[in-house]
Amino acid sequence: MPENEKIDANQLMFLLVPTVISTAILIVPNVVAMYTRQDGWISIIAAWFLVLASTLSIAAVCSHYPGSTLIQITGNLIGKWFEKTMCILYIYFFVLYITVPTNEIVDFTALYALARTPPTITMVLFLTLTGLAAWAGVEVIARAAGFMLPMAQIFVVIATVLLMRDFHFDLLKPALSTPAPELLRGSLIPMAWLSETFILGFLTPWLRELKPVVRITWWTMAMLGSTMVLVFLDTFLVLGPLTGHVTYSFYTAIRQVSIANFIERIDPVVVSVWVYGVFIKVSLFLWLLCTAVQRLFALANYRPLVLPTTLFCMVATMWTFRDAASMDQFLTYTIPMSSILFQMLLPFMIYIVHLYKRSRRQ
Amino acid sequence: MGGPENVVRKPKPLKGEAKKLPPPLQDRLTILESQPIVSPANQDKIDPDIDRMEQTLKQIFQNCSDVVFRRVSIEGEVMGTPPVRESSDALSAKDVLESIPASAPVPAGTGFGTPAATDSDGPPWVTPPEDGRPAPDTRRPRDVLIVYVDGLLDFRHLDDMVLKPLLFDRPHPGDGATNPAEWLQLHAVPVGETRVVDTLSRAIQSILAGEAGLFVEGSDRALIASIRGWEKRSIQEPNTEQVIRGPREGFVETLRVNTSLVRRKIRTPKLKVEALNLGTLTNTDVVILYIDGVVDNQVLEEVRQRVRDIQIDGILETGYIEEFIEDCWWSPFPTLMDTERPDVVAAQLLEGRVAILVDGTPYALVAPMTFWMGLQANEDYYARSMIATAIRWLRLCFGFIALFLPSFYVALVSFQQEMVPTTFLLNVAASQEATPFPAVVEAFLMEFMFETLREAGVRLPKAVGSAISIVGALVIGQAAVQAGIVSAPMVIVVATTGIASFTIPRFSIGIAIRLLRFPLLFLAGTLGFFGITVGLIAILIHLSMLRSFGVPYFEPLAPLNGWHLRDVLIRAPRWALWKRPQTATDRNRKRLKPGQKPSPPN
Repeated sequence: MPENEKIDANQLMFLLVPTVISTAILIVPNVVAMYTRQDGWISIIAAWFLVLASTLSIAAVCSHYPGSTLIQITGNLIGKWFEKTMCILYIYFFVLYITVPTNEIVDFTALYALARTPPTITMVLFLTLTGLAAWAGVEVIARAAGFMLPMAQIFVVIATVLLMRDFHFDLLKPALSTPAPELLRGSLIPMAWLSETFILGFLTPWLRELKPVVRITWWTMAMLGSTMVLVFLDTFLVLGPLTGHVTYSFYTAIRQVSIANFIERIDPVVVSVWVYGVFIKVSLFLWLLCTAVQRLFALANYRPLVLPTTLFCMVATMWTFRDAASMDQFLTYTIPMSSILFQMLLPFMIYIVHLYKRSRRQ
Repeated sequence: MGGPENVVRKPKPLKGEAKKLPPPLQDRLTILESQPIVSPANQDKIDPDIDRMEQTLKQIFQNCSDVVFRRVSIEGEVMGTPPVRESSDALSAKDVLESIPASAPVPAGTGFGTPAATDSDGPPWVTPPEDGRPAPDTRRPRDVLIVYVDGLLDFRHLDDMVLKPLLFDRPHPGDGATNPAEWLQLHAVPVGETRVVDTLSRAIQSILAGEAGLFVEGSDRALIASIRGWEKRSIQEPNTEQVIRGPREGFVETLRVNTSLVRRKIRTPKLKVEALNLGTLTNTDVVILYIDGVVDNQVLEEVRQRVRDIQIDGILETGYIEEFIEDCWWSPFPTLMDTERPDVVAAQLLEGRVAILVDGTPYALVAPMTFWMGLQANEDYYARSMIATAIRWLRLCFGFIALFLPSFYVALVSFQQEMVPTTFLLNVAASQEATPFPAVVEAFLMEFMFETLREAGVRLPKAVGSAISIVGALVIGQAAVQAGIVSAPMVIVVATTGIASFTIPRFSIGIAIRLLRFPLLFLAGTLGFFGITVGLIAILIHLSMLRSFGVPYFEPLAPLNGWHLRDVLIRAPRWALWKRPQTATDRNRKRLKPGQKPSPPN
């Protein structure tokens, strides 16, 4: 297995888009609709602009320090102690990003597909797969993600076409009627998900060339924004104000599809595509976690860490939430704040320090 | 136990610990020990003494009844060894005939040609040396020992082209030849492919490969004349890779014929045919083919290295080599492509790949392989692009069906009944109601039976094979449903799957997909669609991990390369495929002049 793995700039996009979209499509529409109802798309667009700024700042910092991750850059800019602290913080954060989506998968399959299967089995199977992918390395994950992106995008488009019969455009009617504070509250959740693009800062050292990073960031953000708006509209135009009250609202909307009495339900296909997306996300974060631990202890190779880390994540997944309701609570009220801290504020702070140091040097 | 037995069992003392023998004996022993044990057969030199040489060779080929020794005398001077016969100024045909040893078989095709006229000047070494030594007797018959393996060479050719000239024709005076063997090569043996070897082992090697070895009296070299000719299969269309449009020739078991088939298609000195020899006992000829300047040198070096490193007693098929040089032995997917068709090999060489041919098998190996090569037939490139694209998509769809249909059906009827249209669901439910097994067990049973039928059909002669298929179809299909053991939809699913798996052109990929169906079936039976997804992810991860000689196996889909998809998801017209795939070297990407799209004249 080559230790000097490299990914293309395009593959960076293939990694980022499923990472964000796969979990966002389940959560974002209903939470956004909860606050802003028919104006949810405005919230998403507002969030998109803020995230674009932060992601571009990360891309700017990273292309200035080739070969080092965001954490190592803080070491360069501020100091070794700060780097270690950041490393520990992000390790905690990555663990969260492995356990939460895994829990979502497990809960979801238990709810809709395998009601009588013990959740542990689903969870162990899923995390074993991600462990294998993490062991294989980022290059393999990126290649596997290469299928995912076209597939998922095509699927979203197909779903839109199939749902079109059930669209009620009147539901969007009192447009721009939501007050600004509500819009901002509604934009917190899409911001939390969109800003997962911060892992860009951890992937740049593996890029074959750094030049196209900014261009790829734009592409990624465009794809993310459009997909997220599309998914929200798909859901809201079908379900209307109900969107805010249904968990997994996009899935509920998809279940309305019925074509000519032949294809009654396409939702298991959604689940398959979604599981694949979450798999990409979790294996990427597992890989990031292992490499972060490797950095923390200055180890030569991250691969021996994969097995213990995966086992730890299995236990952590079982321990994280008592039930689906508490997970929902966590996703709606806790995650946005911590995400914004870790994914936007800290990177943005690094950008500011970087600018300050650079101006002092000149 | 008794004393003497203990003595026998005791390990021999090491050399340093040995008890010293009395001095004279010990000295002789050390001298003996320091000498390597050399039997005359192991001495790798060609003896100028033809009698000793014959003894040595007969010792080497002891009990090899198919090795023929044939001794002839030709006109010439005897160097080194004393002449056996009386010297004569002019040699007549009668003398030559008389000199044939009784032991050698009389060649069948040799007629009594006109006797050679008395020659005025013989071979160059006939003239006496000028160093004052007395000139040895000139114009003596010189013995030539011809050794060959019966059945491996064309004996008619041997008679006409080697024996007849030696026996009857007037030898040409030659200059420039310093050695009798070279003189033979240059002036006496009218055979196209000859060479002079100076070691016994190489001479024996060549003799065993079907060439004639000519040992000349007084020469420490031997002449090898290649007049191979054995019974071989004629060139036929390979059974496993038949085409509607395209060349109808396939490789045969003879390496030379196979290389000539490729060479006839690619007539450039850049087509390199590197020969090597593998197998300590079989000494099989192995050939590495590539086009210089197109091949990626890293891949080529990797192939060379891996093939050269093989240490084995025998190579009987390319499969032996494949298992030594493949990248991932535990993968169901092959990382080397095998083919029987010279046009496929030529096409792959033109795309910068490396081919390995082995003597004795019609199957060639092509490296590096990508997954998509397994889904492409050579005919894709001979048919028009739109048709080829449609057929590729058909294959892709049926590839998916071959992999997923049984597990999809099982997951559908056992876990996600709501996905099925209601009327169909009622039918399925009715048929499932009548059968004793759950869907997954049924599917396993039927798939298992199908594979059994397939395997039985492969090994049996054609006449029995058709009986098997009829019995199989009737018993497994009709009777099993009527007896209520399996449901009718399951028979349809399994039959569709079976047919679908045969649409994949490369058997090795097809069988990998058929094999993966079983774990998927198990996953679908236990975890439904989630299980299928997990299985699919595992397969995709594995495919993304695989590399064949450094080339990603799933290229160009993963890693995605948009340009090259035009030869994977579609088959673009030939003029649009102006770049070689990524297996070729970076320095020479362009394979044709872009912009040759045809357009009607205005």
